[in-house]
Amino acid sequence: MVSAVSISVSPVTGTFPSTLPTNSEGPLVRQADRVLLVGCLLVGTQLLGPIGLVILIVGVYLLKRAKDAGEDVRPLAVTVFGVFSIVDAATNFLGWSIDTFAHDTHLGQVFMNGFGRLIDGGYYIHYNDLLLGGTGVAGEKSWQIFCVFGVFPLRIVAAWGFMKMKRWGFDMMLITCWMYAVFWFGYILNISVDFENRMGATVFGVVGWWVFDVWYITPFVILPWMYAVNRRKWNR
Amino acid sequence: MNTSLDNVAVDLRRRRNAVNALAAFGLLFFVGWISVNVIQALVQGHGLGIGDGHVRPGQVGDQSGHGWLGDTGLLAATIAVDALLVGAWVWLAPRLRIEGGKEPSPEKVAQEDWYVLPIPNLTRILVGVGIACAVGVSVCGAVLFPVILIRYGW
Repeated sequence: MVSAVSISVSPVTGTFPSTLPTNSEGPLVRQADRVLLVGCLLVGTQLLGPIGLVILIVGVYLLKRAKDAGEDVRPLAVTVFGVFSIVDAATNFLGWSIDTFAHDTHLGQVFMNGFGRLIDGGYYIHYNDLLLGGTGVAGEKSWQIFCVFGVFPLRIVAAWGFMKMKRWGFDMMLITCWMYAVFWFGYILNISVDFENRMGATVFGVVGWWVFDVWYITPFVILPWMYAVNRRKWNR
Repeated sequence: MNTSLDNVAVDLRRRRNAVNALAAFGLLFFVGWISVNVIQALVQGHGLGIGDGHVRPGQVGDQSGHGWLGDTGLLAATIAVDALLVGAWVWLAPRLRIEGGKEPSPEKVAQEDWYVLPIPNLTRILVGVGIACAVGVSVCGAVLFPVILIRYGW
């Protein structure tokens, strides 16, 4: 068993011994978390992203107020990684849900075919031609089903539990981080093998694809940190 | 006693190496794949997408949908299925807590450090990247649909 090591005080990294005697959650923290969740879900709608971003900032401010009021507040790193994971998963979840279930709607086709022509050719070339509809790339569809039913909804739930300092939240966060990392590898390999029909057949090409998608790197950011943190803190 | 302390030090060193390796791998993963894709674009003559991208003509099919009512029903069903999926995981995940043996009391845990391995500098970098990415997701997501509508219409 690795023992705990004490170092300098920092509110961002949380590298200080907690002085609070209980593991209960105060009312101000609960209020701040509700605001954060609303912000995450608004960002997840994509179109309302900037409004959601402002609400997220308000949520972080409310957390700071809760801390000033003496409530037990988790380190900022936990909040940032939780919010980042929910935003990432919610955005992908909604987008791919539309391609999975609503690919026949006018809205779905305008959005997906537009996205396809700008960023990823798999969303306009042979669109709606396969058995399950939506993207015309079989590999993309299989990743999509895997993520819509498994990874993304579970990751939203896991990140929320993680922020609420639940042990199951920490465990599920770790599990979905690895799932997501494996997904990233399979997904980018799939796109690269079919390069000329994906990034190679769009307005914004390679640069556009990466500028749009590089932000979804949650597992690679969070995994190293999760193996340095004291898991026992997630004991609610 | 010394042996026990030595073991702790070895554990910490091994863990630090592994955490640093994971962080480095994350960086290399993206630098590597971006490089591969850029090389593919240049070798296959597609260009990078900065003014030289192209769309394959005649590939966009019928976009008429199922009428206002049908489309609304499909979109509402999509939202309902999404809510059901999240609800199913909300029910399942807390029931799958992994027990870690005998745990100390909450009061004792509250006195422990947040980190078994102190990585303040790496944490600051990762938190910064996390904030930047959340902003990136928000901005890119918000800009996408208006750009589609302006360029291709409704």
